[in-house]
Amino acid sequence: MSLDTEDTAVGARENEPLSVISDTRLVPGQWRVHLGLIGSILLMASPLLLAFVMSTQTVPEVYDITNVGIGSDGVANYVEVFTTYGMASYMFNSLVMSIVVTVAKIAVSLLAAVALVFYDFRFKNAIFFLILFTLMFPVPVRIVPLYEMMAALGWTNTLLALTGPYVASATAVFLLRQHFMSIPDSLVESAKVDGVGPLRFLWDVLIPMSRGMISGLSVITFIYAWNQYLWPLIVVSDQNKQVVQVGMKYLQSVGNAGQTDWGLIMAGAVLTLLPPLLALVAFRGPLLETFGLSE
Amino acid sequence: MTGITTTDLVKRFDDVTAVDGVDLNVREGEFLVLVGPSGCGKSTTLRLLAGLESPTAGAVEIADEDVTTASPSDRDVAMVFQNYALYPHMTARENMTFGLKTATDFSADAVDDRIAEAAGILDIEDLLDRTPSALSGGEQQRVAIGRALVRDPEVFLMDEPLSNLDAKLRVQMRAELAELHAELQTTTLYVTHDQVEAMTLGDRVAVMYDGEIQQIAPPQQLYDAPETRFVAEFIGSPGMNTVEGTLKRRGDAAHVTWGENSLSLPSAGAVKPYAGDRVVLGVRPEDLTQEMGGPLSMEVTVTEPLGDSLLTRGVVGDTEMEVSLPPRSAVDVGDVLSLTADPQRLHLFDIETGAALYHSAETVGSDAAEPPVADTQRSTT
Amino acid sequence: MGVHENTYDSTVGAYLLLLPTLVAIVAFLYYPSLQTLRFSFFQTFLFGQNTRFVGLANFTELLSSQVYLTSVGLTIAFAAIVVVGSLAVGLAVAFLLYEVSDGKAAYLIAAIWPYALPTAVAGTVLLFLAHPSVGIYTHYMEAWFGVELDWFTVGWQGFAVVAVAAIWKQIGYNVIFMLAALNNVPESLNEACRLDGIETWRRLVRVYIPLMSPTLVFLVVINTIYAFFGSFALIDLMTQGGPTNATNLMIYQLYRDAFQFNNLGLASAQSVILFVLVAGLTFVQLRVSDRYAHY
Repeated sequence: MSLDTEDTAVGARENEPLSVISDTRLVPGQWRVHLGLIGSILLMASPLLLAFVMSTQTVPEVYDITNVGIGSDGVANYVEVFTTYGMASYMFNSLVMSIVVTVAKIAVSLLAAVALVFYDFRFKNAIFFLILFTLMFPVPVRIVPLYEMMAALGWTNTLLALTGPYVASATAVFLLRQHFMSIPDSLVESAKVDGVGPLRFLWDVLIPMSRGMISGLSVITFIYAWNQYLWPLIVVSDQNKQVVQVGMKYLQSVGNAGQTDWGLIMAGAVLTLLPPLLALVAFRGPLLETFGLSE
Repeated sequence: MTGITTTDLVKRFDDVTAVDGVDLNVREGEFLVLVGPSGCGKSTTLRLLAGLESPTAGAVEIADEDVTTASPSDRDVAMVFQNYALYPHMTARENMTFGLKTATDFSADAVDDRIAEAAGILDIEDLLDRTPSALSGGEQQRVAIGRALVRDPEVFLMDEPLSNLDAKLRVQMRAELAELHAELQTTTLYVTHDQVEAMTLGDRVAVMYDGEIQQIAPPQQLYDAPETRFVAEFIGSPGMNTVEGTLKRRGDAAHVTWGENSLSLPSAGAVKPYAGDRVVLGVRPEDLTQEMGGPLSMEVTVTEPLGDSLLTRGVVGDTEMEVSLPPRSAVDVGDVLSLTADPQRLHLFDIETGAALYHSAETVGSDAAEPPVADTQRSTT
Repeated sequence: MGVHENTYDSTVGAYLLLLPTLVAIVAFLYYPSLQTLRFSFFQTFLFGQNTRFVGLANFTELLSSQVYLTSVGLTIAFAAIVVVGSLAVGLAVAFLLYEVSDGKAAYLIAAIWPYALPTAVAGTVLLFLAHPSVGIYTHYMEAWFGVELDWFTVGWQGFAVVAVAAIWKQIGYNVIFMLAALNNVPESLNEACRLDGIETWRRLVRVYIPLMSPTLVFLVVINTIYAFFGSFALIDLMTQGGPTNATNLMIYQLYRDAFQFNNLGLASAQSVILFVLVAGLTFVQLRVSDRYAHY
């Protein structure tokens, strides 16, 4: 649909008399739409643009409030925050956590979805409901016992504690199940007649056929895991093992002589935003498709 | 031998009995078509043979081996699906080989040879490296058939493989399938709802209705001597006219009357016993002709010029009937036609059970007392 | 007949595939959630060393505590503001994106990037830009509008700044879902509106919003849950519940009771109350949607 309308719009612009007709679709006139979009996009982006500019400034430049030029520190703030203030290890820890959560969550959910779609067994609906119902228990609802459990297992300050609670996912199981159900029965039956087992079917047929859905889910999970704050704050006390979101909190105290080095902190903020933002931009196609929206 | 035999096969889903005591015997090398209206249980029967469903009761034998509880992959069957079941992310070649190693024990070289051979037979050599989305419907169907071919199975099972094709392509693929079978002679069970497909493809045709096999016979016999009223009405396009009437005998002569209309039957002694005095008379549209002063009068309601004939629908007595007239006959809606029927081509069915009581063709030149054949093979000789 | 006979019908096989998910949801979701309920009937002493069964005492303590009741009220107000704000802004942006015909893909990515924005980054950046003494926003608010922003001491201002940060972070998510819903409006309705000459505003209110209502209800639920649970990082980084408890949302109160005061029983009771509140609100919203949403 979008292709068609774009084509006619292009054609209309080359052809004066027609442009009047095509413009009637946009009652206030297309320029107002552009203006509105540019305005709202600038408004949403301005804090980050300012943060980026100020991330290059020295402390005196930052305290000269109306100075919104590129500062003289340049990349120095980035280098410093990365090397001296532990951003390198925070980001590495976040990366490991996010990748482990993403891979584990998708692998585990794929297996569950295969069982829920291609098998017939007792209590199937009950188990699906049991998985879905976990949506009602976000971390804060179970935070105290979960922490106690990690402490008892000796998992605090470990990757296990950071990732374990995120492995099971109602959303991923639900979306993969929906996707698998759209695959024609005859493909499964054909595999059965050939004696292709479920795991081989998953690996050779389902996964290649679900590439878009799996990459979309991966980006969603990666961004979600990267942005976690409360749970790492609680379960990791060793600053060297901490993730970058909580690292932002440690950074806040950076500065000397009572003057906070906001330039440095903004550099940290920009670095923290970068991985999920890049993931979003790079995988926007499958991400939007997973949400039911194609570009 | 590599035939298929089912014994009293039953499949119930909850309250619905989809397959109700089917005894089917597909002979070695035979192309048997299972035909019936949608919901008659034909696809379920096929799936029971493939092992995709397990029967509630009864047994399935393939190549003299009881496979009733065997998994699909242990039955040495290959299946062609209605929607082709091609994996969208694999090329035609990959589609044909995927699962082949599991299902068979061919070496890699043998697989290549078989692919080349199947591709040659089906004329798809140039398409092997394309994915299904780059193939037309007909080409996808060839690949799906090719996938079955390379498996070299004991038995082909085909589930309405042509019904997703457009009309012209369907006719073409039908001819190719017939050719293919003539060449390979692989035992094949083919399910369709299209009786033209059934008649043209099948060595024998099994007509199924309501979970039961109505008749298994070679196509012409099915047409000439339907064993049940359902088969008579289902086979042929259009199907046989059936009229409820009263059978009156006078010595060896007899006639069926309804309203003002009456048709006489030759050698009425051949009519099997039945209850009551009412019967169902069957006569095909092409066996009715216009004749001045004929025994039937039809008021025309619709005319359909088919090109090679003029199909005319109307009311005889109070029953709707169809008659196939020569093309360009001067007939208009509202006309009243005088018709007569070919006396050699009349059929009687039991009004309760629908079972055939009499086929006039069989009385000619044979023992008049002998009832219509039960053994499907005999009358063709 | 091989070992893999009827593999896909095997109950054992199905449960093996489900095992990782089931273990994870029981260990990390159901068990701790039930434990939360159990803990809520106990009182903890000596920094969590000792416990004693106290029945409903934790709940009665909470419900008679002025601080806690204020926190509940604040949280509900906060959720309402964030839900209305992020839906309104999201709807405006989504509608503009839907209407625009040129440069759609570029606008889309420029509008949905806040989906990747980590809450901690949103909080840190706004903490700086709206900082009462060094913030550039504060500076221009005062210079241009004469508004003195002193949200480190003025309660409602702190509340407002945190709410703005929460809305900012949620926009991307809402735009994605709203645009997907708008794209599902049949093109023929669009054309019917054009033929009838219905102006933009009426088209949005009378045609699109009713047709989007299932998505809108879903977003109300998701945004409510986000406002209740997801804004923790904002509070922790920007206000620590202050000034004078003006941003002491329930989740923050819970965190302090559990991990600063080690009052695990009391904190668990708060988890239970949070769960009941969110589950209740979700239920009500879904019921309302059943009755009023046009499907």
